[in-house]
Amino acid sequence: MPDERQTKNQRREAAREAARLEREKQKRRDRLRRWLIPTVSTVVVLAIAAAIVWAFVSNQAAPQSAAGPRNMISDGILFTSDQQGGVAPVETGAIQPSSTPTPTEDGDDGLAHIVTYVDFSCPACQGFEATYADTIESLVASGLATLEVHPIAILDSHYTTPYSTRSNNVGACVADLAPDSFLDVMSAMYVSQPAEGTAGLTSSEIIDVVHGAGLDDADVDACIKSNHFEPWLTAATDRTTSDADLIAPGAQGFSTPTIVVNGEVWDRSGDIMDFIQSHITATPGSD
Amino acid sequence: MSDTSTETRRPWILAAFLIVTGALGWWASFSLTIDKIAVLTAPDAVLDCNFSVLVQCGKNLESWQGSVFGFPNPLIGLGGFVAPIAVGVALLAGARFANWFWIAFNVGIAGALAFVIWLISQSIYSINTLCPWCMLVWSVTIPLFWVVTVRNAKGGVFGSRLTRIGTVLEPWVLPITVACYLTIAVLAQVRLDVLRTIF
Repeated sequence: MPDERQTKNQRREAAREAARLEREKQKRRDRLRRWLIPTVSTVVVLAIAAAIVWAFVSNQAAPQSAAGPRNMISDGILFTSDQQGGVAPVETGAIQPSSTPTPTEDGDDGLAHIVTYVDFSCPACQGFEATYADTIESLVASGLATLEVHPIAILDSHYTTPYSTRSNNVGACVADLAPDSFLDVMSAMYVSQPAEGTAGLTSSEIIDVVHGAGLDDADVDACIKSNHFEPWLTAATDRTTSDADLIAPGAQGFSTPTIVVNGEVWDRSGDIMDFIQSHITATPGSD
Repeated sequence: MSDTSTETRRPWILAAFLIVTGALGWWASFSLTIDKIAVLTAPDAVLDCNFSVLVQCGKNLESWQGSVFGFPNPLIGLGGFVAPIAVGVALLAGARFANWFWIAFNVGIAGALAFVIWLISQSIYSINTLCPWCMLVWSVTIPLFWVVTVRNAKGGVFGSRLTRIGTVLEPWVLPITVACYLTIAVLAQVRLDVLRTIF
């Protein structure tokens, strides 16, 4: 019967078609399998390469500065009374590359002009800070004195890393970018001062200390990480340690802390506050 | 039936690839030629391709390696890169080539690759620069070589014994190209410290 034959033909056709579709499917599956591994491995290799480059670039320290930090034109940062019972930094430009510092002009104004040469990594400076910082700061706040802090790095050999340079660079970074926080950060650096003979704090530990002092600034963090002001710090340290006028009376050589008031180097005898007071001829509120 | 139709389908991916890479290579050669003329007419001309001591083409153009056959290299590219464009366009138009044509095309591209490898080594190890236009030429010549060679192997141009190898290698052309790029990048990094210089 013709009808039945046609059905048979149709069935055969349908079976053929199904087989063809199955073959096509298999071919597509094979092609996918053939291309899968090479393509995936390419993507993986590229991702690894990108990760390596990214890791390298992000770990790259920013270039160091040839200029000095701003607000330290004299190699130190100067604080005076803000006339409202507090202290404020005096803003200055920066020492330009291959230029020399401009000393602060102290007027003969009856005030005690206190200049301290300190190393953030020096235990004696830590002791000085703990004992006198508050008293000196209130003296400055009351308008009877000014304070000029010169951070220098002379104790790198006392640590297994150049911690002296790394910690005093923090002072330069903060003076440059956030001078209002300088005294707080310096104080926090002394409080967290590591023991001599150790590696000192890592850059991220230093950054934690700075954040703890209330200064959270990505630029400051970057400046700390790259030891941004190391060239200036090295030059300022050389200038300071080679200045014979800064050797305390009776001392063999320069050491920190060295305190100078109105040009006179403290001989480290007696109470420093008496020494400072002896230079004040103005009376409170006479300004 | 379906198999035959796939075989006779126009290889438009290959054609597009040949046209794009050929055009890029030709454009790079053209730019280098223009820069060469600029340097010749005014020795202190400021070239667009000079970004830094490391990334520049002035030094490459002035080097003896830049005119190794007695005339500026980019002139070779200006002529040579027309070939892949022409082949690509012909393939798009449905052209079919004799075996000898594919072999000649492949030999030309292999020569281009050999020349480029030599130029890469000279640029990284002797001239100490990375020249942007030159790098564009390198980066199109490398995949051109692999794509055409593997295509020819698969298509039986080099005899039936190599068709299997061509088929197996076909999906690996991209990874091989990337591996070549990375090798150059690593060599340049080791020798020229590219990352530190640029970032």
